[in-house]
Amino acid sequence: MDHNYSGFKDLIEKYRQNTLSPEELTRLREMVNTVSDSELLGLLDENGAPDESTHDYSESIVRIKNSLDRRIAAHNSAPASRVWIYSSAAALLAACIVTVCFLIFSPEATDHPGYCNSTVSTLGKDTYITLCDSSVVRLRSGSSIEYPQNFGSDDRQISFEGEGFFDIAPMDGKPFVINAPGLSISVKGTSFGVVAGSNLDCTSVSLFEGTVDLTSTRSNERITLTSGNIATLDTGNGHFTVRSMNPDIQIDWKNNEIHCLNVNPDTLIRQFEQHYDVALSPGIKKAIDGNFTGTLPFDDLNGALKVLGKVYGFGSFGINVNDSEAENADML
Amino acid sequence: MNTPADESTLISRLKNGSKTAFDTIYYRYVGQLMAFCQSYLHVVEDSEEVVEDVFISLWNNRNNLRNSSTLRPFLFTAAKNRLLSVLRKRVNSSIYEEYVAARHDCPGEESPLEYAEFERMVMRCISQLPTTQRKVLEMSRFENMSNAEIAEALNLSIQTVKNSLSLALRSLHQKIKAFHGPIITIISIVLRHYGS
Repeated sequence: MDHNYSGFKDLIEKYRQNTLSPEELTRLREMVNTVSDSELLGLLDENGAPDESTHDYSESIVRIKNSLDRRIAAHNSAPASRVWIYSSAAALLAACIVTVCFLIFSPEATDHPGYCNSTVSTLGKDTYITLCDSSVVRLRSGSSIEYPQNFGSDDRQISFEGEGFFDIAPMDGKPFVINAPGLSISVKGTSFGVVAGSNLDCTSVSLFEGTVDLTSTRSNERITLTSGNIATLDTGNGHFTVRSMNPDIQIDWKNNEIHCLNVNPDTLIRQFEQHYDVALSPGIKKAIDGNFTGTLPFDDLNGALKVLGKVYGFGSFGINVNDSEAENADML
Repeated sequence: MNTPADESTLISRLKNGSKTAFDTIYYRYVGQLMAFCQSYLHVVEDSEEVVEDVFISLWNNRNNLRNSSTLRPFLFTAAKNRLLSVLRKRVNSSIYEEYVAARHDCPGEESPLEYAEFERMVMRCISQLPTTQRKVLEMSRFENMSNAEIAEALNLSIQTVKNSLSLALRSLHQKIKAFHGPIITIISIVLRHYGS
């Protein structure tokens, strides 16, 4: 390979600069598929990397740091002999969204320890809070949380009302409990993801991975919810019902995205209206005439409508909104 | 300004388990490592994964670190090792091949599409195709199967496979055109390559 070294270096550099021709790509392929790892390593020039100031990596830096902190914290708190279910989830990845009915308020929810900190998210924007155990809470607009400055020795409890995402740091022997009106959620396992939606009469929790224990404070009914299922609590009688979750819709709250895979029109319309809290016009509903696979922005109604508009070819539209953001929605 | 003495001290503290020292080292090198990884991988998510793995490796191996004045060789060697497999996969990717062809045909384009965005767009458009067209396109394009092999695998006639592939490419053309006008050039290349 020595006699082609400079040629290969040129190809690698062109690859980095995105200036390869198709013929050069063919030669580069041949090279990377034939040379050894050590030879290829020698061609990767760290000194030729672009200056870090030419791009804004601030979001990446924060994401990586948060992930590192959680993984390190989990590694430090776990017994040495523990085997993690997921190597990446050993540190983190617990997202919990609880949507609560504001019209029905359980008196039990006020009976909680003396929390020192209380936060209410600003209307129209999300608020991030890092708890003392490095768990992260993302409060949706109009939601509130109460949490202690330091957790007790046996468990970690917070009080919550509204809608939010919880990124819980695993701690062996110290379950994380979320007390919401009518409902208590106890985290089990090293990693889990929860998405909840609600209407005015009930609270529901959708679990993507892991397990959680749900307790109705009205009926004392208790269930263990496993991944791929939705538990709906009737806040009137305090009883749970469980059904399977639609696996074709995945919420990636960390990246603010909703991933849809071959979702049929009826489901798409229903989930869209529920998530963005809007009612789509008959014209739009009629235009959505095929299955949808794609990514929608999690908290941007206008952006989501633009995506659907491009896919289904609808232009101007009308929507009945419950959200003031959507009143100004428009199409390109 | 970061001096060798500073970093030697940080390394020593890191070896003793100092998370603060680790954090300082992280913020000192993360930008450089991201820029380095991005220059080879061109996809932010892939770069983030590599960089995170590098720093986890640093933390997990902190007790075994040599007493040196800088961690730069350790960090960049760790990054390179992790880059290799991703780099090979990217260079061999058929979508990257199409991307190279498109950029080569549009050298004067003012705002060329970044590869990550191009890849997402193409995959999104392919996933929106009707089932049979999508399967035929994927088998032909990503699994390099012949029309006869596809016909046998899907229990279709060869003519049906040809028709499905033609329809898939035409649909792909329209979908991608809706996203980004200049990409019509890419689809032209795809059509020339696979439409016959």
